[in-house]
Amino acid sequence: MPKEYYAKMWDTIKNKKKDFDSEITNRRKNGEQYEASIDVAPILDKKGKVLFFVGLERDISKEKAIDRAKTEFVSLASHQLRTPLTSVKWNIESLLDNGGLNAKQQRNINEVYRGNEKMIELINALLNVARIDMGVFSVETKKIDIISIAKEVVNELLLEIKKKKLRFTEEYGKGITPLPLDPQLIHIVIHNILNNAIKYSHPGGVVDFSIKKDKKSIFITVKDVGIGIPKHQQDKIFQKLFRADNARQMDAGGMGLGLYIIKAIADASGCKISFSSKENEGSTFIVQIPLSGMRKKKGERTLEHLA
Amino acid sequence: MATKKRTILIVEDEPQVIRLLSEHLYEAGFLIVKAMDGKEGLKKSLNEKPDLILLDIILPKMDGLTMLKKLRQDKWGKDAKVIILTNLSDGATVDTALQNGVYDFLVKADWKLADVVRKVKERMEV
Repeated sequence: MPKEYYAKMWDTIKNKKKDFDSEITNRRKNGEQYEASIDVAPILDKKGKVLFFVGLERDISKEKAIDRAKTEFVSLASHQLRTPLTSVKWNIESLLDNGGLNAKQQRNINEVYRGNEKMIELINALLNVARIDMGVFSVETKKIDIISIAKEVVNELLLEIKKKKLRFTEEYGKGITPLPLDPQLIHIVIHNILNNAIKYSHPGGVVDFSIKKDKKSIFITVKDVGIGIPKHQQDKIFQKLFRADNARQMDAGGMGLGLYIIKAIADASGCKISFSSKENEGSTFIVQIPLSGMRKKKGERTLEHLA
Repeated sequence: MATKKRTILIVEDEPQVIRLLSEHLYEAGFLIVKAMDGKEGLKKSLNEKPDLILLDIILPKMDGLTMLKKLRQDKWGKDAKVIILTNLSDGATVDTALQNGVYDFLVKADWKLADVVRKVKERMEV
């Protein structure tokens, strides 16, 4: 381990007189390196003077190897799955570019393309779920303007909004200054709740999107007057792969992973997601972010962009 | 006045990707050189000195990141323009690639072919 690591350890247990709890790369007598989890605690006398230290060390090499194998498997599996999908995607794009298809053929090909895009999206969602389950995703914050991200998302969804002839309102409160956010993650969150509102609206419906702030938090609110969530299923919507009965019937093409993912993001970064809904009347989803921003979380990777 | 055509080296082992990229980039006015593994990729980079290298990661004989690191050890190679074009998206790979100076790290399945071509043109203007 680097010198600074040991300096920090001694400073913590000797000067600060606190527990030192960490993962370390250690060396066996035969020179072999291994990974361990250590916990060193100072034992103090009645006057608070350090008498001695008690250290516990646990060899975690096997656990670490399993974690690495899991991460590699997920990475490799998604790579293998993406390969043929890329071929389909780019071949269809080329085909459409060349033109010469009649209306019926165009429609068939467009549906193939759509289905292919859904599969790509599913792989990204599964990658995200795997990273969440293994606890390896990071929250990397920097001071950014949340409204500009919101506008990006709205732009991405404009086509869908127009297709469904929805009446879409956008409202951004005053005085929302840049705050620490993970741009990728906040994009995923806003995209998900807005996309859900659009998906589960009837054609010609209303979707209201707003970002406002009060003294302590920023509130992202999305309100729709669509199919809503049946009362007896409302406690399940954040579960993996769960889709309410009426959502399934609508064939809006969801996977039941979006809310699971954004709830995990919220929990990891110190934000809150809440909602109210009535079947056949619509839903309102609110994401609450403290003014201090998202909380950082160390990890290996941020999550994949969906759609 | 005829301007010299610029060369792009595609280091990629998927036949579909090679074919589609080559077609579109050739139409966009570039000369194309191909390599189907990292070893050939490194050799052709140093021999032909392309204006841009499109580099996949999972490759036979020598993977993309190893090739990139070796490329950066060469006098010409250390400044070569590289765009990673892969379907791997794990953090460690992205970090290593960025540490070795790549312009972009593009996940193929997330990009339209036309947008990849656009990105290439953007980078070539530099």
